[in-house]
Amino acid sequence: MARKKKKSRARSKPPEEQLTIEQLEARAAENLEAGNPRQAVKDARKLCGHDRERYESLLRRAGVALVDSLLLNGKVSQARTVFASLGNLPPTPECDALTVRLARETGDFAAAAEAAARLLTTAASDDGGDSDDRSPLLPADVLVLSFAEFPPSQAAAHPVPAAELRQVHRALALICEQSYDEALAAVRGLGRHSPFAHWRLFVKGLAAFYRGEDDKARQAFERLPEMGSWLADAASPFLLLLLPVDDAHCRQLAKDEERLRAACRLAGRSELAEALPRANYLWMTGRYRDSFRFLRRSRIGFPAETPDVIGSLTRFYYNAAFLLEDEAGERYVDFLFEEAEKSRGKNPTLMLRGIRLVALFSEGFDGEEEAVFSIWQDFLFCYQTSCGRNPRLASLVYAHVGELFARTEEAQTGINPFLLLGLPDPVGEQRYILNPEMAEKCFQSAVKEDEWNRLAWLSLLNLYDQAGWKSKRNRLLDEIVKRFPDDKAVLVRAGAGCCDRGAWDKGRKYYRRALDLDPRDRALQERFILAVTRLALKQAVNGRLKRCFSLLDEVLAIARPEMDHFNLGSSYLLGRWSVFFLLAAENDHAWDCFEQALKQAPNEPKFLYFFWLYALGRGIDPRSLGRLEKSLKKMFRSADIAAALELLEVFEYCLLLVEGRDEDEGFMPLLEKEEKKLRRLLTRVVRRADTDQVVRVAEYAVDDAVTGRGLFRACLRRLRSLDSRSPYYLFYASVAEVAKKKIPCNEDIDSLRHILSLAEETRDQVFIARVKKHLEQMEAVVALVEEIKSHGDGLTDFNHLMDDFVDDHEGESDDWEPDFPPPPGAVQVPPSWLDSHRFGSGRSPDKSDRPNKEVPPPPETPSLLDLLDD
Amino acid sequence: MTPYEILAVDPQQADDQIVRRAYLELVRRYPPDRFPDRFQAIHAAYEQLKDERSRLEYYLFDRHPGISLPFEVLREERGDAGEQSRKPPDFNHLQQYLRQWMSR
Repeated sequence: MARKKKKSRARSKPPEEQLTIEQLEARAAENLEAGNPRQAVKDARKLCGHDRERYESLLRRAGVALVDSLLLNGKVSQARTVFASLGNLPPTPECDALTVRLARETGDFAAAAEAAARLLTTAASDDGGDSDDRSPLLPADVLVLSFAEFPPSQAAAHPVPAAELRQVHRALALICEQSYDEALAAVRGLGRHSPFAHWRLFVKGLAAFYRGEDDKARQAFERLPEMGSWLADAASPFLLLLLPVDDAHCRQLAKDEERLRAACRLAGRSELAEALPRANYLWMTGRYRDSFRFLRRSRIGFPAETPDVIGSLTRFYYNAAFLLEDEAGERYVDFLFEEAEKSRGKNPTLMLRGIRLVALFSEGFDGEEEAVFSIWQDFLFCYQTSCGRNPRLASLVYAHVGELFARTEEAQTGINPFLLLGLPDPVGEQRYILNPEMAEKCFQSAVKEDEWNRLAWLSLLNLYDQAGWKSKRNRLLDEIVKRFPDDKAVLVRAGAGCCDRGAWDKGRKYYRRALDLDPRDRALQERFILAVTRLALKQAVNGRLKRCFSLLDEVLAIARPEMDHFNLGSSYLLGRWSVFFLLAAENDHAWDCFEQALKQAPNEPKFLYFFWLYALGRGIDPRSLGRLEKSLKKMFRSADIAAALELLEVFEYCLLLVEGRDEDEGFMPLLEKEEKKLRRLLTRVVRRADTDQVVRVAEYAVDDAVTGRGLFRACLRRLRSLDSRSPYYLFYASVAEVAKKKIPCNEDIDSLRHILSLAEETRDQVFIARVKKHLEQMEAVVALVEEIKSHGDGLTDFNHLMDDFVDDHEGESDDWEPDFPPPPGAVQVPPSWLDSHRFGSGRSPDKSDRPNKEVPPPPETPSLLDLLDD
Repeated sequence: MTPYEILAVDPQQADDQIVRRAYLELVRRYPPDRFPDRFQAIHAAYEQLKDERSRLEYYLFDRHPGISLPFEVLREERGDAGEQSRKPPDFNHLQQYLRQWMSR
């Protein structure tokens, strides 16, 4: 069939020999027109056989079209052959453009210089058609890369481009001689419209790059693509070294191995030119293990602990596991561990790096602590075998593993709606130590390996503190102080430990020694003063007045008379001593002290109120302070909002003192009475407060939103009257609304988000943070409600949830146990926060929200409750 | 880039004195007012290596890859070499480089 068809087709067409010259001519023109230059060349050749003179131009046109087509298809050698067979072509722009293009492909730039020069000058006289073959950029580049003078035949007629070409060559030579200023000067004369303008930019980039001016270099190289020159391609390896690594363009360039190879050479790392590009490509395509293997086999000495690029690559390949996604990371770590196993006794770097990585990586998994311990032990064994024994290194490893075992974790207590709603939690957070016995063993090994590993000693001390192993803690403290007698941190810990067990005098001495080492440490000064205060109280109660006086001298030596600070201000300290003397029934001394304090007080009303509350708290009969009570009543009557806020500050400080004390001491009812008085005052004066003042009061009274007490409502009224559209009013109104409903919904969240956007316009960072925190809490609650809706019997479950929670834990305190007990061996951390949240109902759950910044002690300081709690 | 590379100190020979000397030399060369980023990197490297404990901790517990892709090692400048690692090629090599990228 096929043969038949072929025959029939052959019959339908006239044989080649039968075509007339006219037919051949028409067909050649038709093929040339239709983009079939090969056939056109064939026809033109036949026509030339008949009349060479007449059809030579057709043959050349067809030949040029064929070369063009071959070049477009990347058939450079064929294009070159066809072009050569065309003989000497007349210097038409098309032929010159082809010559230039061929030169670019073949690299024979010198041969194309004449044609390039003609094109360049023609393009210049055509007024710069900068598209297609008319663009002067390519001819200019060919001329530059011929690294020869402008063709003499045209230099005389076109002196400007000839001079510019010389300038570019000179600048490039100067760059190579590291004469960057001269190089820049050489190309300075190139105008913006010069065909060599892009070379000026390139030279500028080169000079900046080799000078280390990366930003300038990057800017210059990045502008090259705009100019449409291939030079942008030549600049791309430079850009690889200059662009930010997270730049998408940079990442794209980095996948090209040839570019990266060039970049290696540019960066002076020729030794990496063969290995790094491939390894990089493999890494970028997710073949991490292959990438490692490739580098390892490439004989560049990888991996090694050296201070060079190989060292950097080693660090990267071993630590990048932490950046990989879970599964890929695990596979990669397994692979490196296998490599480590294979290299035991052969390559210490591979072995130690591998084991170390596995140990660190395993630390990220819960419940793997025992395994981690044994891997680190293996590491120490291998280290000792290959590098010798290093007790300090071993000590660090043991201390590190000890910290893992000493981690505290939250006990699983199920859903706690109180925390979610941001309300005071009646039970408190329950935490337990993961494995205190193992932690102790590790810390002991650490200090045994290196007895001067101070941090390991302190870690052991922390462990005893957290576990509540007091006798061990006290023994250890004595040992540490003997070992590190001039260490401030150790002395402070010792002081805190002594105060914690009521050994105020011993604690005071340790703090004194610490203060001698650093007399300006304010937190330490507060610790010292508080320890001395407690000691003085004890002395006063026991009637040792002389000692009490000497202690007063000690604190006054540190106190600041001008400071309105409850712990450091002289007046407040004198006020305390006055109370102590009252307790010792030494009324004359007491009132002397009081008078002195009053004289020094920077803020008399605040001091008086503090003295009143402190005296009540220490059990002084209010009737013996009768005169003071009258003045306070007067003060309360005449107080404005500013004065009321100061009284509130004093009251909140005294609340901190109260925390931790038992209710049966009689302290709390007195303060509750005081609180009622203060609330009445605030409710009265808040009507005249400005926004900041109302917000301060509202924060104090925010729990009223739940309990329905009046102060919060008064704040809301005032905020509304100030500006009912302000974010402050909207926020607290929203808090009240949610508290009324008990269960927030998605609309509340949307409303809070809107309030947050308004709050952000105020630039009040404290308020913004407050709204954000509340929003987060609400989102958590709504998520919980949604979860209950989807799993349980509906929303009623949530209503019961809080009731159940309270019922379940009613009456619990220290003997509280979580729903799911901690693992065997775990020691529960005593809930120090527990008792502190039992006072009253009108208190803010979070002390850190309060504006009184002087009261909360610094993180390392024991809380006031620790020091003042009996 | 490792802190050893930044300070150009051999890990095998590093001791407090060598590290300190290398640090001071680099700080003199790259003062913070003129090279704030460079100085920051040098100072951070010094903090990681300044005493034996820090060096051991770095060796044992360092988890930072330093770079996010292998090719980034090319971008870092060594502490001692600095600009020396970026030397322009000779004229012939530059010609070859440009011709190579032209005919690519």
